[in-house]
Amino acid sequence: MSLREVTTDDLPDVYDMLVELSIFENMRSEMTLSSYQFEKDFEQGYFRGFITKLPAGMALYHEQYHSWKGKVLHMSDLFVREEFRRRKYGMRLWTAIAKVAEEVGADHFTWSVLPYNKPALCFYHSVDGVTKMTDVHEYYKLNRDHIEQFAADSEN
Amino acid sequence: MPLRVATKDDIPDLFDMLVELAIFEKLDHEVHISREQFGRDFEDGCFRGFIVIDDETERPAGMVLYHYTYDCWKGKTMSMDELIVRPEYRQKRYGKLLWAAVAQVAKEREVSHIMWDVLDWNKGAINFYHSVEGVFDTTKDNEGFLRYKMSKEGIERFAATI
Repeated sequence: MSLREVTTDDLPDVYDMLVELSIFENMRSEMTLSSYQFEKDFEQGYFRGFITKLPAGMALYHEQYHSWKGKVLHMSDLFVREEFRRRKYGMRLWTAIAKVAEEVGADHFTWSVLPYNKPALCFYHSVDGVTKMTDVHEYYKLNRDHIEQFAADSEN
Repeated sequence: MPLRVATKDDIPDLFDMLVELAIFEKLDHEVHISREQFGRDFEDGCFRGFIVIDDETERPAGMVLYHYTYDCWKGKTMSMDELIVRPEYRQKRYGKLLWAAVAQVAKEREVSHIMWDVLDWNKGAINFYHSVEGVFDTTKDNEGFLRYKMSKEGIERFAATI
């Protein structure tokens, strides 16, 4: 299954999927970013991402910073279209970003997940070292040592 | 004007103040980054900051750091980190000066909001942040940190005060 880095040409599809995600979460009115600004911000390097073929899904990420620890990689959005779920696209998208976290030498990798997303929760809890940071909005993180272990294991 | 943009020559002072803040927060055991790595990350553009040099003593009195983040529903956002004024330099409005400087950058970059964390027992900091309009707290994590945000409107109003 092919997965590749998001390019400028993918942005209309990525933006559409963000809109679909906001509708899915019942929060369409919260998404105020225009597609025009979204594309400008991508060109200026504010975020990066991966996209699957079709496209079935995408995941976006950007670097943050923790003054006590160093670089942090944060996955801001992961979405797989309904008709393509249960085919491990989500897992592969998350894994691709975990590998970027390793490549950039991030101290840890963070993301959030909806509390009722049972398949995702099941997958995340199966990864060694994943910890839950908050009880609201379900923020999760994975530290550097476990990122390296996961990246090494997923090569096999 | 005691406030200026932090440069790489300020790294030793910035790092010292960062450690002082962590000690105050009783979390200095969580500071894993070395001074050298902190300096390298600054040179790589991972974060920026402002420093205040006290008028009278000409010593570093305080600092604030910030970095950009991204919210795919709102656009560019900013995280404000390590806002500290050394105890001996309080009551000189350096805290507001540092915070407003970050708000000014946020306004110029047209960010959607600024966010930062405060320990839930740090009443002094909580009162300080609530003294400015446009601030609201959102979530609390498992380590006792409250997540605060300042809206775009709050940023515009506050930046105008600098």
